Amino acid sequence: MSYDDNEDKEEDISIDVDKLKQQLIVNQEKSLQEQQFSQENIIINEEELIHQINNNDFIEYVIQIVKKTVKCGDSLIRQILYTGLSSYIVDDPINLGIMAPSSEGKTYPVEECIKFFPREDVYKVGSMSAKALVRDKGILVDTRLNPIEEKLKQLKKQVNRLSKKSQEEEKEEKLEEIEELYKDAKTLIDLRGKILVFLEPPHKEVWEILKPILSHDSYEIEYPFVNQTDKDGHETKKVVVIGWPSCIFCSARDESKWEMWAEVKSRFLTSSPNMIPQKYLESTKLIAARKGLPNLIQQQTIISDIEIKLAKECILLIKQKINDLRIKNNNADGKISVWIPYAQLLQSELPSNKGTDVRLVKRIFSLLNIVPIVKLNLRNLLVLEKEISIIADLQDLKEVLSITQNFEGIPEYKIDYFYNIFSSLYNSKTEPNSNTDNTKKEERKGVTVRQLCEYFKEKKGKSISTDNMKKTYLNELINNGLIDYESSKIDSRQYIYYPVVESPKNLPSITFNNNHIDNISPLSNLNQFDNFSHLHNIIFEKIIKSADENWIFSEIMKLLRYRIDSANIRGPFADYLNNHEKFKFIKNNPCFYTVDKEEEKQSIVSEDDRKETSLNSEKEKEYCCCYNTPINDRMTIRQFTKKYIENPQTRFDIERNPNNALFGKISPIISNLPQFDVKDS
Amino acid sequence: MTKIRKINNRYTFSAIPDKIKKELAVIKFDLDEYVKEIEKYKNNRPYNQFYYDYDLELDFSENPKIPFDINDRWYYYKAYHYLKLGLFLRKDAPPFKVSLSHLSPEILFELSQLDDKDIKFVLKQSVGRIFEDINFDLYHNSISDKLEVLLVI
Repeated sequence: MSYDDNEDKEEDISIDVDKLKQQLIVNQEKSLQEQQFSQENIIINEEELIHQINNNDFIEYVIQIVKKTVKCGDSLIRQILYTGLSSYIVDDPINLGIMAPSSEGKTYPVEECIKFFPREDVYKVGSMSAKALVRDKGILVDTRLNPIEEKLKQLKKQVNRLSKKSQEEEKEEKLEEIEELYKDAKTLIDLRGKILVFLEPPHKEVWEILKPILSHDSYEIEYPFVNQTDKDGHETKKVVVIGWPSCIFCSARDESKWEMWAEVKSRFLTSSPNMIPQKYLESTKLIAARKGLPNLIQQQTIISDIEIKLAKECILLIKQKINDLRIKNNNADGKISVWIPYAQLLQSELPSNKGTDVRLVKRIFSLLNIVPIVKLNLRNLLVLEKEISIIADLQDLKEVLSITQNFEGIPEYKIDYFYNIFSSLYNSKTEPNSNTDNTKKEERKGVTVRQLCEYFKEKKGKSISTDNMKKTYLNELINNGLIDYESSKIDSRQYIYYPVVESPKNLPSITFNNNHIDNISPLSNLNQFDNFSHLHNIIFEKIIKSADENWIFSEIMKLLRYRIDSANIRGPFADYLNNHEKFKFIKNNPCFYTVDKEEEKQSIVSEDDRKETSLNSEKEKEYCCCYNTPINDRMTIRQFTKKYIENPQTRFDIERNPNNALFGKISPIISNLPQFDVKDS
Repeated sequence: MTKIRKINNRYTFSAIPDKIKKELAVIKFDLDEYVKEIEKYKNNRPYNQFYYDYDLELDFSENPKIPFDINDRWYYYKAYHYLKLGLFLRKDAPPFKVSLSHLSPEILFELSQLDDKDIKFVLKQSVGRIFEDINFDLYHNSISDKLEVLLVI
């Protein structure tokens, strides 16, 4: 509007003031709503991000970015990232312990992965004392855990201003109020949605505070801990820690001699970085490139700032999605529901002979809850009444089994030592040791520490002292019941060691021929440096064999049993199920790229060719998961079962080996699928 | 229907904030009555709700720019206490409410001719000038970037 040329104009304007007021208020509310909506919902635009990273698997993109600077550590990277993300899933976060000898690369991958998480979500504990933890991260609260710091600050300021004699009484009252507040005050440390990173083993006091939190005993724990809160000597006598953080723990200590080790071990999923020459070679190449190339070239060849920014956005988006899902489900405890159709199959395959087996099963299932939630946008959903559950895919099982490395909680490098050094040397001996003139002879076959050191040097190409060998490897193996020792008959100052497990290579309870082991497809599809356990591989292959349409249908029927009253069924069962409002499968897997390709094709081809192309695309539609139903639409049971078992694509599936039929299971339930075939088509 | 005659002196965009400020600056109120109401609210407030003590005094003697006694000027009184809020909790300063009944029909007409963005700007400018009257530095060092102005009936 121009105001300059209306000076001489005289106008009669009639206005309705009330109407104007109303109009102003309505406009304001509208703009406030828009503002609120934009703040709440569009923190990160998912479609834009997918377009930028050219991938709709966000976590996989982050993993690929981390791999640019962390070499040969696929499993470890995945473990660290999933651990970090598990903190946003309030229900059951994971704790990860990374154990390895000094300078093998424990802290580095952690730092490289954690840098993509929002800074405020990460607490690096380092060698922090308990006082530092309480003072830095704690806030003053009253008995009902409401913050009181602001109130105290105001009261104190009021007291400072009451300096006149006539105000003495009022001052007394205020001081009493302050004292009253301090009397019941506690220090609250809120660890909800936080990632605790111990780059060094924590102080004993800090460990005592965090210990019960890490074992997920109680969501809110109170400790007696005196903390001076101000200069006047006020102190709180209690510290309340609330929430379960996820925790990453790096240690180079000889943990078997460490008094906290047993406690750490029971609370953490233990892992260790790869220690192979290829990794060292790749790492030195990376260092050379990082130090030797100009920054601009590094941006292009190693990792660029844009890639880092996008990876950070991916993590934020995953966090945002998890929060959204929690709000949608609106549970009192914020639990996100996951349906693992193969839970029973997996449980029957996993060992259950001793206490540690229970721990392992718990860890695998915890991870199986986390991976589908992280990959939420790629998983189908099950809607049961108002609750939305994410359906864990067979791909998730593959991912989880590939990153849970060993059963005992012993670091991988020690297991490797046990197989390749200890057992190998032990098996090479045909009879008990004897001294040079054959006058003395051991009662049983065994190896001495010195022999182990020599064999270690021969195999690994690096020397190790006898003391170090004992502390680093042998004590741990003894503690875990894999080996035992006795005094040597030849030299009483020495011990001889022998394995307690008869044939370590036969640890997997399933026997099959060597050719089969060679043919097993690597669990992780990424590279040869992945850590994977053959035993887990076998479990996966067995479950894949059992996973057919009959099986998944029977699993659905098991769920239905709890929700649907069969007396109310009218008409064909398939129609009833596919139209049931309280039980439905929702597709949550938009095939952006397939659609794009189709659009591109149609825009390029001429009118004459279009008919032919459309015929071809009709054929493609049969295989495309998106053409049958629109994005985020309901799937029929037939569509779901078909798609569910299509997913795992391993060599095992393609090369159907008749020997493997032994491990397959036949579903006892007679298939109802033919009926559905008719209905769905 | 209120009729406005002979508007031959429409305000330029830059003059509107000044005009609004002048209109708001003269709005008076009864402090005693207000304090009584606050007391009533304090007694009934939920136990876990934060509140700011309006009796708390701050020393503004170092930079006295208040041209008159604020105790009977509604918007000055509010701005004065908002500054104190800003001191304590910079990011959580609540929206500053301006009552539509305190604005003249001319100003209402001018506002109705602007879009949302401009209305926000104009209102913040006018309220900001009241804040600046009280303590320029304090305002710009505390809540000036977070302050939002809301129109209420």
